[in-house]
Amino acid sequence: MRDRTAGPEEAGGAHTAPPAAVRAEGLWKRFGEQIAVAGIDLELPAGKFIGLVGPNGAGKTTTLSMVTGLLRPDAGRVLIGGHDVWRDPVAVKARIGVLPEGLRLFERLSGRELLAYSGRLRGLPGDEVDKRATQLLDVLDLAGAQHKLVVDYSTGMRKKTGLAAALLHNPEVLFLDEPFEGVDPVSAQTIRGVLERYTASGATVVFSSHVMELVESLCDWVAVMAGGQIRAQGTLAEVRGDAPSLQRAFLELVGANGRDSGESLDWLGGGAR
Amino acid sequence: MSAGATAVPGKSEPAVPGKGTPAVPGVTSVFVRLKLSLLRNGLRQSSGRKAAYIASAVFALLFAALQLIGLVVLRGNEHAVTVVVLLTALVGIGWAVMPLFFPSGDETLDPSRLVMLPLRPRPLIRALLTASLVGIGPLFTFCLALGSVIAVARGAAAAAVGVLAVALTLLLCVALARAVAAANVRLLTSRKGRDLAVLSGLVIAVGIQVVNFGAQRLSSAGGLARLDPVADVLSWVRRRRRSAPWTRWATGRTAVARPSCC
Repeated sequence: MRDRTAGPEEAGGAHTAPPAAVRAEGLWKRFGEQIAVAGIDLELPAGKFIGLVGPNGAGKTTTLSMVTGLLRPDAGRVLIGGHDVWRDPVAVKARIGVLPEGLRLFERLSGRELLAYSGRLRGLPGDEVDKRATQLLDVLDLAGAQHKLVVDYSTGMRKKTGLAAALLHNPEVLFLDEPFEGVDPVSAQTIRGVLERYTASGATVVFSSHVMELVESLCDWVAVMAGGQIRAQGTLAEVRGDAPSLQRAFLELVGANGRDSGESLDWLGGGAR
Repeated sequence: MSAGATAVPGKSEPAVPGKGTPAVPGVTSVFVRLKLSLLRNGLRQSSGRKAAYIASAVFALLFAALQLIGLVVLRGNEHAVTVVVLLTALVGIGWAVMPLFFPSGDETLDPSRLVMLPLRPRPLIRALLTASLVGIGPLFTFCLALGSVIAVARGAAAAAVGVLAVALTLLLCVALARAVAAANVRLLTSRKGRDLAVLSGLVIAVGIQVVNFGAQRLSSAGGLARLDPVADVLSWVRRRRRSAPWTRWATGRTAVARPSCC
């Protein structure tokens, strides 16, 4: 699984560091009193399966929103494929696919109509859109429900529909915010298969998660966030270091390892007293 | 904003085959078809919601037809101008507050659903305005505006002005609804905003009672004469607005444009 990146690197013909797919410089975001993201610098390599991990409230969603042009940063800039996200949003949006956390879809369209209109609004020719939509619906197990309205879809079906809409224009970089949250194991496996096939072709996937096992099994590049800052970034092996698993390395990085819940809950369990 | 577009053609473009710019020539027609699909799919919901959808559509159309007939009958009446000015003002206010209470009424009103698409502001404004004119609400407003013109216009020149006024009224209404909806997306998704919406909902509920009360008073004999001073004020407001319609219009358009481009 780890040698998935061999393809694009051979194509690039270079053994030096591959060019960054996404570069964020000094990103800040403050909501009232609270600083959500405190000046982060990120350089995400192209052609990798990248995991952005961190505990709840670490600023993962805020960071992804700023990187994908959904939320304007207070300071800093983001470059995707050399284009400034906030100077030239149209050029960037044509090159990226986004599956945001609170995904908003047209509820009163069927899954197929949603894809058909998304593709056409992106300027793709109609027959190409329909061809791609048929294949995506097929691969994502949505073909049976393609004529049902999105409002009647389950969480997993909505995520898969959102993923299909995000992949329809064959983006260079795909951003997914907690793509496996609330998704059953069967749908999760389907999504995983599609994403692995997609990165194998040299595209970049960036996804946020707090499920370490998932990140460890999927990603070859990881950035760890906590308290609005990047605590570590690099290949899976670099971030894991000497720790036995990514989970342990992560707990050490975010400083949650030594926490002892010993005495404070001494009444819990051991029968009613 | 245009610099990036010219940079595209040299590179290989995976998303848009052929030429990369301008991204979407037929965006207006796609939006109109999208709006028609949304309207048609209202009939494909569960039976309860379907019944409510059909009933509200039939009711709105019936009401529009009755209003049209009423306004035509009112032609020549000395209070026709009063009624027409008040009705138009009321409909304008209605368009402004509707999106706050029924944000799901028109899904294309919500810019957060379009924020991921690479759409340039100018074509997007044109497309959204055109798509806004499709639907039962605009049809209702069109009937009302048409009836108003029939009620008060005498002579060819007045009819010509009336036609222009109908078009402007319609565009103003849909642009107003879009501007209000777009400006309030962030507000309505925050907790403070929702509290505010509940509060203003109370104000509206009281307002409906006032309108109800007023309607009862007016339906008594000679009641319409009471409205004349109000209409004088409103028509003055409208005259002032007409004096610089294009500048107003321009600011309205930028208000629609801003939220959708960011």
